[in-house]
Amino acid sequence: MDKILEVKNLKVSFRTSGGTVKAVRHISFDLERGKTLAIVGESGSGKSVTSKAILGILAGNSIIEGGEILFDGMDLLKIDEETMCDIRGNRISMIFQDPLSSLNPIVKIGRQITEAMLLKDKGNRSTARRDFNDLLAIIKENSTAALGKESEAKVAEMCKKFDEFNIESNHMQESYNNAKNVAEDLISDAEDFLFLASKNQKLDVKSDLKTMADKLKKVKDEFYTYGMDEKVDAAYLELKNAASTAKRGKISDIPEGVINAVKDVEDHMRTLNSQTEPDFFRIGFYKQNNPETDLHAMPVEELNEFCLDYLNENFMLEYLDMEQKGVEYSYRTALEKKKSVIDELKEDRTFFEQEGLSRTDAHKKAKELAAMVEDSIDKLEINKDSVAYTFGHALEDAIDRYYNAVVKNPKEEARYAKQSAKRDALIAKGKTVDWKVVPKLVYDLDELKGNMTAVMDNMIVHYENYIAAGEPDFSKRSVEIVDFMKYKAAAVVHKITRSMAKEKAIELMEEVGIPEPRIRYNQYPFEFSGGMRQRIVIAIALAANPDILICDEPTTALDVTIQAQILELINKLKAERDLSVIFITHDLGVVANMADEIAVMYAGKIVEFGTADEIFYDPRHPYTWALLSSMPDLDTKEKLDAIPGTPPNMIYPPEGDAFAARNKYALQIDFEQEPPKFHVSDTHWAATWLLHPDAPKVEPPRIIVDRIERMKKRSGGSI
Amino acid sequence: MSNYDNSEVLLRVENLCQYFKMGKSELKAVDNVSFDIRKGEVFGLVGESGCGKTTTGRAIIKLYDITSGSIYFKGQRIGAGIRSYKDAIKEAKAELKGGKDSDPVSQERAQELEEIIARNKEEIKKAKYDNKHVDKDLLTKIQMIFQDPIASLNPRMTVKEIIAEGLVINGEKDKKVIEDKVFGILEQVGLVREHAGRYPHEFSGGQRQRIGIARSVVMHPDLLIADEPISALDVSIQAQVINLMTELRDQLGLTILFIAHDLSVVKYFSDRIGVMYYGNMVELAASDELFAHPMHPYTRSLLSAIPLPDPRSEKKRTRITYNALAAHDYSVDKPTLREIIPGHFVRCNDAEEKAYREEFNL
Repeated sequence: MDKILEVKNLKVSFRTSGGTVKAVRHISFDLERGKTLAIVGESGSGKSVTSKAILGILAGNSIIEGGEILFDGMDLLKIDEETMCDIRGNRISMIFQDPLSSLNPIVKIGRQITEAMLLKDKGNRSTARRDFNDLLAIIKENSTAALGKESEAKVAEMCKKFDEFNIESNHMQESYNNAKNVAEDLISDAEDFLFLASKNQKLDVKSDLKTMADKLKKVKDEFYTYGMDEKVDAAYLELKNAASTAKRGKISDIPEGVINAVKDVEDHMRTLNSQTEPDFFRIGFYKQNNPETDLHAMPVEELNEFCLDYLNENFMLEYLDMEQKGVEYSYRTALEKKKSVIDELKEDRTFFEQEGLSRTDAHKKAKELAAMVEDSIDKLEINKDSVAYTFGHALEDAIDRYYNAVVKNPKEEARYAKQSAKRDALIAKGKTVDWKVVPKLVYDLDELKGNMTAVMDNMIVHYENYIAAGEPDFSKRSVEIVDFMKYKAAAVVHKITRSMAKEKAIELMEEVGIPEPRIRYNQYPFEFSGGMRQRIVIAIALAANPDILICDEPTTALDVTIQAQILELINKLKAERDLSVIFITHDLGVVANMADEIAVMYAGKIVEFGTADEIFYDPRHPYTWALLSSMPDLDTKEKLDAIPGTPPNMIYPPEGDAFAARNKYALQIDFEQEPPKFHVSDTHWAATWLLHPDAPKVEPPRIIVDRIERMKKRSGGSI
Repeated sequence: MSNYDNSEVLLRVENLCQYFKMGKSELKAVDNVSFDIRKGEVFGLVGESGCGKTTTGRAIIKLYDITSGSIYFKGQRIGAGIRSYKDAIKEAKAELKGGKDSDPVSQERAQELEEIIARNKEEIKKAKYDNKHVDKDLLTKIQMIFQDPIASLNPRMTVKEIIAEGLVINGEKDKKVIEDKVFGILEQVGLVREHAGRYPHEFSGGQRQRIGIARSVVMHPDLLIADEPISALDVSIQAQVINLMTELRDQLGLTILFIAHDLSVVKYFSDRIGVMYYGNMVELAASDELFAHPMHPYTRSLLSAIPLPDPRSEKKRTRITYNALAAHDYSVDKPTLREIIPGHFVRCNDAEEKAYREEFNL
């Protein structure tokens, strides 16, 4: 299965004045692409903390004590804020619980939806140029090394040429894009105008037409308006005439002629937009070499072909050849280095295993190794090797953890000994002691030490697999690199204007089911009902087309009917966009329709995990029973099985099974020892001693047995 | 059919209207709602947010001056609005005067109209008198539990002060009596005596809601208005509070007006259910009857939206959408609340009534 997100042994605590609250304690789960994972539990069980850790938006007093969240080859817990910023919203997005407090009350809806698009756009453009330059420099370096000293000048010239004609084509692209943006602006204006006119709204016809005419004048690019020049000019004159004859002020009765003129403009712009885009990458080169030639005589398709031939003949084949040599060289040198890294790592395993290794030495060695691994990465690989990139961090982290434990363990032992001695002394004196010795918290040093070598082993295996995979197709790879650079170069001049963002936002609003988005676009959050507000929040979350959507109790604040609508919407969007969803809720009824897999959380741990069918038709953990039986369904008549008491104080998490104190099925061992995972099937496990072969047979509460019985009957006994 | 059909009517709400001024226009939060609650039963009021169920509850305990209609508690009128009388007078006066081009009214009709005006003026006087001279002791027999246990308890008062406040206001001066009552009620709602000296912030959500319940129950009310008492609570705590309310109801013989939007809970807890939509009561029936034979399209859409902990049937579930404008044609024939089956009322007009009857072979 294709895992998109893996959470491994995540542990999160919060520093508070009362002590450290252990909010999430060693939880692990995988999220598969296109599936929904539901996390269920009562408040304070750590559901939201988990989701916030994934997004990197934990509160300031949080401590991430350990674990990994792997996404797209990165460990989300260890990357810097800047990288996280790229992921947050773009790749992973979140719908918050309360639509009222997650929208800004004094900013119009439209602006809130487009805000992220515009912000991200600016960042994308500046990084694109940097990426382009960096990559070109690496190619230059490698190709020079591959072809030898004598061709250094040639390589430099080629790279310069490549860069230069890219700049030339960028200029052309920019002018083309500008014209296109204005055209899109115009379409949006015309649509607004026609929409309001059709609704018999009052419009300032004169000034509207004038702005449209002004914009139409700016739709000027040799390539963009090719073949349509006359029509556009005619439309411009028509608009201008209409503007000069229109009355001032707001008018509701708009003459037919004006409407038609605006419709014409819209039609023209749409035809222009639907034309094939010339490939400026090719044209730029031709233009650079033959600045005098007029290229507009040719239709776009023909032009593209012609320029491609020209480019290939005169430059590209040669350049590709050069680049391929560079790529090959880079691969081979990296491969050699990788081999030496494997040897080195194998050798150094013993170094880390030796007794009495000092912290500074370990760090020094780790730095050396990290530098070596860093050096052995093939920089010309477009799909980044994430294990290698995160190696340094992972190793340093493991070392820190080990040495921290080395320092802390004896202190903890001493404290424990002192307290136990005091207690024993008091008992010996015959006094009643009403306090317990805080259990000692010592780390397993061997395990921590093992972690250090495990990081290295992981790296070795990874590289061995890499070498075993054999040589890649270098020509294919070099073409890929050119394509990548082309994409980056285009991104530099790819602007998202306000009106483009607006059109996209309106599309999104339609998609999430908001009627008349063109009017709604300019309203404030308070003008929306609860369900509509939540739809807006969903639209914002989807603005950047994320891979993962985290829904943190998206329907708790909503009514039954609206809740059903929102759930249907999320299901629909999930299917359409192949989203992976993490759905957090305390209402098991809500997830029945949504979830593929369900994790039941209690006191910071997952106590039961399984597919939706398994959790609902064959629950095993007493807490799952309690959750299911504490809510009445439509056929419930008997007294509800309330869960007595309240969740434990997570400053002092209980020993053994955290749920034991509220659990009427608790065994003696539940209070003493933490239950391991007992597998019921491949996909279903629960952490309760009741599943131990030696445990007494316990029936789930009547209310659940009856309900499952009823459900079986309803579905024809096919469960 | 509920078991309380023959017991006396404790609360009767007749044509209750509650309008709020919004600038020039008016918001009809509750429009012409009538129902009665019999002694000992739990009457559930459901509907989406903004449909007026909370406003109804608040109007009953006189937190608002109602616009029109009457509220009778134990046979006494405790609330009365005068808008309907005023409108009647206005109408009659307009007719008397006659428009520019309409015929002057006949002698007989004029006399009739004069009578109408006089009668309505009398009614207004009566309503004003009733509103002013309502029996205060009677009103203490209606108590309310509020939705949010955090916001509804004064953070600066101890639990004992909070619970005793109602007693003190009603003239109880003997400290010993107050203390006994407070301790008694604390134990009844599942708290302990030691809690009396603490402040609300020292309690968990479920315990706070228990304090809210204790505060209202200590007055020995006959009618308890529970306004979404469990919506703000955690799943596990919700069951505790529902169980507590069931126990108290059995012990004290309470009559409860239960306002909620969670249909599974309302079904579980109530004997009869009224469904509200945009200020109107659209359907009213015994709870089993309502869930077995929902008639009004809004009730059907509401029932089809209840999420159930059953993945297989959930995947097959089709939600019925309700669009008030498309579902009914009330342009000619205005709807009223009509009894289709004994005890089962639906808001409909003649054509719809016929359709409902045909559907259920009546």
